[in-house]
Amino acid sequence: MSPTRRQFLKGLGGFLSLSAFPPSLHAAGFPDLFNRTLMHIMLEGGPDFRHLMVPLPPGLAASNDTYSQSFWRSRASVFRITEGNQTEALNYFQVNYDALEISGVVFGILKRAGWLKSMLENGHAAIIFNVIGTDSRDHHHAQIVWESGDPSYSPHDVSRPGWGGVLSQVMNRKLVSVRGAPSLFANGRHPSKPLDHDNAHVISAPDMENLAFYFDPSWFESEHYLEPSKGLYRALQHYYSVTNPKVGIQSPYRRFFDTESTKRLLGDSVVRRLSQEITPLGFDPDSQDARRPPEFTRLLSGEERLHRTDFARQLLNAWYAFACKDLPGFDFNVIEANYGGWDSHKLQIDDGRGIDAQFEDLFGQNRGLHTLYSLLQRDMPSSLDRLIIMIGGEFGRQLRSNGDNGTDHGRGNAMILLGHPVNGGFYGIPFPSEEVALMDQYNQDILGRTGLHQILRCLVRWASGEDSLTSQILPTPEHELAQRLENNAVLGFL
Amino acid sequence: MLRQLALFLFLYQTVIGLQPGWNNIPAPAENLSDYVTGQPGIERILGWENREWKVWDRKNLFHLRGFAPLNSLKTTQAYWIYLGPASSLYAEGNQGDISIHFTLQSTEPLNISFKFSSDDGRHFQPTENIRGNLENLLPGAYSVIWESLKDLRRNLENTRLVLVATLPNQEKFETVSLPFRLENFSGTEHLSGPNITNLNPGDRETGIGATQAIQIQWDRPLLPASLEAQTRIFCNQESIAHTQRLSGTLLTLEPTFQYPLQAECEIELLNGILDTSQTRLAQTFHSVFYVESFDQTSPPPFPEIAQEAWNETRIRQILHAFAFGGPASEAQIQRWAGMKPLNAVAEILSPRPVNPRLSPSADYDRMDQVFASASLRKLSEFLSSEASENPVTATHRRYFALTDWNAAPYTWCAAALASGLNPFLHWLGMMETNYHMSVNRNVGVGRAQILDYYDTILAGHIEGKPYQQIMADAAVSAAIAVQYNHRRNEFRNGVFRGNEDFAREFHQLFFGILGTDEEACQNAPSIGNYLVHPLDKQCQMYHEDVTVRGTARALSGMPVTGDFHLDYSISYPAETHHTADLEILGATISGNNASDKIHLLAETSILHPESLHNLPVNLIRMFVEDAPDPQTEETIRQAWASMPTKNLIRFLQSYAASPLFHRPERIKYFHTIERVVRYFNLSLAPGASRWDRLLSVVWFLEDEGVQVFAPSHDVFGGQTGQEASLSGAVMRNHHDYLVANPWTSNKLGDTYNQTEWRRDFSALIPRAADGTYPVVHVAEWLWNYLIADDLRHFGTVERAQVYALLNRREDFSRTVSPDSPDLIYTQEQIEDLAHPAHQTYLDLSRGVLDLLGNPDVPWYCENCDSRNQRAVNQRIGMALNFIAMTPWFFALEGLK
Repeated sequence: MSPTRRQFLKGLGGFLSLSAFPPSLHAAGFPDLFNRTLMHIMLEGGPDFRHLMVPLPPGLAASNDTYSQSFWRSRASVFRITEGNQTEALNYFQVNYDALEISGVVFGILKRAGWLKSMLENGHAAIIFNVIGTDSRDHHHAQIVWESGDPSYSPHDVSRPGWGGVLSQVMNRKLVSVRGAPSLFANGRHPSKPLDHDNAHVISAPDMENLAFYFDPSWFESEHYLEPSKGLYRALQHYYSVTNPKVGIQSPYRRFFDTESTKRLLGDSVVRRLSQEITPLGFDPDSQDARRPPEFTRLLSGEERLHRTDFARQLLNAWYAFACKDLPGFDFNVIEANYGGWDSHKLQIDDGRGIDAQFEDLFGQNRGLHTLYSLLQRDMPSSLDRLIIMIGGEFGRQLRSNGDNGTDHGRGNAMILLGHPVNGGFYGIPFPSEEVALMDQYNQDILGRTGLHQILRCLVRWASGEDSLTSQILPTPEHELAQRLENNAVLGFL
Repeated sequence: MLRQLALFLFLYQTVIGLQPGWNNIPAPAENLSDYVTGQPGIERILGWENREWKVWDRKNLFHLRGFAPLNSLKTTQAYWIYLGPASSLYAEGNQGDISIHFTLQSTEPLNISFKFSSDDGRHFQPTENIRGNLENLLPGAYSVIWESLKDLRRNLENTRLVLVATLPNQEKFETVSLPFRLENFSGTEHLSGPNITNLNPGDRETGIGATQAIQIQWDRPLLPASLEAQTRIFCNQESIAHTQRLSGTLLTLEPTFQYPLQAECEIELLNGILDTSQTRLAQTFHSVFYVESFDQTSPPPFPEIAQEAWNETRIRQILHAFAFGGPASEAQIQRWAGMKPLNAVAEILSPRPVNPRLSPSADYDRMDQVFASASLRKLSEFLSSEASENPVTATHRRYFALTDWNAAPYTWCAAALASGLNPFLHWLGMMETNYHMSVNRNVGVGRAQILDYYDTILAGHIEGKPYQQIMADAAVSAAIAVQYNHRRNEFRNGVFRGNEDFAREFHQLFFGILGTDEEACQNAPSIGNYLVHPLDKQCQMYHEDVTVRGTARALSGMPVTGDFHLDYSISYPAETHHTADLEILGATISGNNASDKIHLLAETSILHPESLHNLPVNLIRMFVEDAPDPQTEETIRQAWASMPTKNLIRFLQSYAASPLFHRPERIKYFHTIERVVRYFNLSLAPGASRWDRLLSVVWFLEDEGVQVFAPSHDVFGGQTGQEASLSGAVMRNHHDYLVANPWTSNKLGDTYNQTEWRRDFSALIPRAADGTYPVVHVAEWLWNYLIADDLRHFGTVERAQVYALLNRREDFSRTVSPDSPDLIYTQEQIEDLAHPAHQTYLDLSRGVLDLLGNPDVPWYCENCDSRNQRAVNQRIGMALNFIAMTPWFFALEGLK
């Protein structure tokens, strides 16, 4: 009987381990040299960070803290407490929030976001407040702006470059997209069409364990069925390899050749790396599949799984990507992931299934990001010295809650940056006093005081390591929103 | 077993003779001419030869004239033979009382009656005006008299009679006469038949305009009063209201509104019409006409592509972009290619519930007949029922019942894939409900609500409603009210409670109004009534403060009750509605309930400058073209603005028939639903049952993380074509499925739900001019069938692989070097005359496929040699899968 593909690769791996084992691997089979890497997590729908971090309620806040009183009154329906009832507000806070002081501000942070709290306490989390990408409250348009970094993009600019893709492209590195499909953020510049993009630098990896084209003879009951499949597999393999060099960058079909060649060139080495070369603690040694850390299995299935297991899978794929970082052709400097479901017009809490649960997926102790971070620290510790995780959504919510126990679209919002390279703390005013009056009015939102573009330039400067490249990667548009900087302060989060 | 049965039938019928009606028996051992001469009661014979029906017809009936003639009989083959109850039926005389002679052959006593036709057999009417014995007739020769003046007072070239014989068991059989001339009109006693002067009755190819008047010329003045209730127009069996004007001898009939597009219509002039001398019309007069497919009541929004540029590949492009590939037959595509582009496209992208021209019905289910509807709700009921016509096997019917979690996606997949329905309509329904006006079953929208939502939108399109009213219907549906939760919006005692989610998305997602046009609000009544932050823009804040806020109130009072999945209701009570007028988009919106206000608001929304600017571009971008350039966008806007009534289907029809759609720069990346359904639709076309592949389609979609009615971006729509085109997972899944299923279905045929189907590529792929199937010919046809690029990308390397797969069932490298199949041959090597790969390429290109194989061998014949045709199917299946896995299948580019 013919060997299965996995058996074949296992044998090949044994051969390679003797002859050509990459020198950068240490005993556990993980790479240990990392360049600066940015992980972008897009929270689609407009996350309510004012729900994640709240002012102290009346009773804990100073008696003259009018912001506290207005906040808990205007948002009572979200918390399902009686409007103006300070006792209920206090009780709700004590059950659901921990008090914390950062940069001289005492506030409440969701208890379910325990890991974020510890990151703040350890100085590895920076929160930038009052950030604005666009003044549009249209999800679609605001996401385009967020992912491009350019407020002058129109709602129709769906094929143009994104700032993450250009960052990788200019740095001649890869961008790993662990989302279901790469977003506009991942798009690189097209050499001749400004409205189009080029994605040769993108590794689309929503399933790293199965990155390669798969052909398993055990699918087939007999040679009668197997031979045609072999023939077809070979015909396609040969066809793509011969045709690939002849299809130019101008062709709208170029992307398919890029994807195919990525899978063919990287697929086998990635699968081999994940199934044979790395040795995470606790993996099942009898398994011939990828050596998945049990911590991720816990997030993917069973009682401790995340509310959104698709996010758990993305984190697993991100961890796998780090484990493959030294493979030829896999040297990335940007990872993109996403987490949807933040458009909380109704039932923002929803008996444990609302955004509280989603924040817990992201920031809870031993939950999503904490697990990724811990495993990177354990298996690839040097990666953390060069990793920043950027978390944000296209816009924030309105200051007042609506009549449906939720919040409607706003514009300004906070952004969260996590990582050892970050100078932790608060940047911008977390609870601007001018909002006090606005909270009693309809349709008011967080005033955007710092343009998204300003923050992205800092991140690009850090990720590229060169000031000279920053303008090349992210030229500053003339749009007024791109120029805003709160109190003209220097952003010191890096 | 089948052969034994055939032998038995043959012996039986030989012994007892042919029975009246249709007989299916092997041919006798004599030539056709001798056989039918010796059996004068045989009316017609049908034989299946070389993949087509051939007909011998003694009476030259008009509806059999299009068939190839049957010239001989083969003793190895069975034929359908029709034996009439009488032989030698003929008329003697051509005026007044006419003698009818006939010979009865039945061994049983018969009762007979007669019908006559004035139009060569297209229509027959019974007559009572027969003199003679008509009952209990034994075998023998008879004559009766037809008092023809009582039925037809006209001069006619092609009169026919039909003898209807009734057996004692009430079975009826008919014998028709040859046509004969009738001269019953002397020019004095009866009004002669009129002439229609401005159309060609019966001409299918040149239909009349939807509002065109019909002019009928008489040979003398008519009595106006006699026209009362004497003129009728029917289209698709529905009566059409019309006006009539008489001017001298010219009668003009004009539809009050318009005829339905693409309809078959009939004018009927009843015989109560009199001329001024009180002479009566000799008979009721019928005339058939056809209505043009494209609605020309206003100019088409886009210019029409030139006729000389219109060809079969462009039609295939339309099929791929809008209708999951069709698949229409080759003959139909050729017919469309010969038509005016707009009319052809209107037939392809037709809003009719079923469109057999686009998707011919299959013999194994006849869905166009057993389920002629576009309703998913009805389809769910039908496919989950115990109806005898239900094509789904009993164990799978539960998947379509509303009690099943997946009923909605399963039912949609069935609708999109089933032969004989309308794949364009279900493509449009999917795009509307999963992209433009998305609802998501994963956020609580019930199954019954989703199906009804889909049906509501499609019903609006079928009915030809203005697009804004279709969107308004959708906006006040239970599905949307649950999706956005404004079912809880209430206005009581002057206090509003609810959210403004859909209040915003009604404008943004449905109509494309973002509130960013700083000129759009300047004349709004309340524009100066509030303060705007210095950093904010006035119209933007007007949109937020007035329009969105007002729309949230307009949506109040829309409770949804009951079981959302099975049996729910939605109402629009005034008690919880903001009944006072609201200012929205600068207009005053009145209405006593939510539905009234939203429908009124839609009339303002559709004309809003931002909607005119964004909506048509959004639709084209979402549906057909990923990245139109700014100039194209402007053309699209102008086209939309030019439509006095916004009709989306008409807009898409005109776009599909325009140079804009057919320009080479246009690119459409297929999202997973389009690609997968298109793949199965095309690969199953040669007769394979779609029903036993249905679950595979659903699973295929799910493997790529896609579910119908669970859009990945929730209300912002499903996975886009751009996303799919960049996804490694999508390419891998497609590749792995096609490689693991190298011929899609290795079966020549099968039985599903007790119904046989047979997979026959020869019924799909046309022959070359010499009647054979050369490899090059088949390869090129398959490529265009799947890729529709006029072979632009079918170069040497592609051809080498497809030729090898068709000839040898193996890849090109293994064909060239069987011992080193991993050697890769470049284009240059294959084209190098001295290279061994070149000679192999030439040899392969000279191959001829035996597509017909041995068609008389049933697929289930275990001891017969059916390998030949099976092998041919495998080769074509492999080639088909190879082509479908090339990059060119993942997107659609305009023709160069």
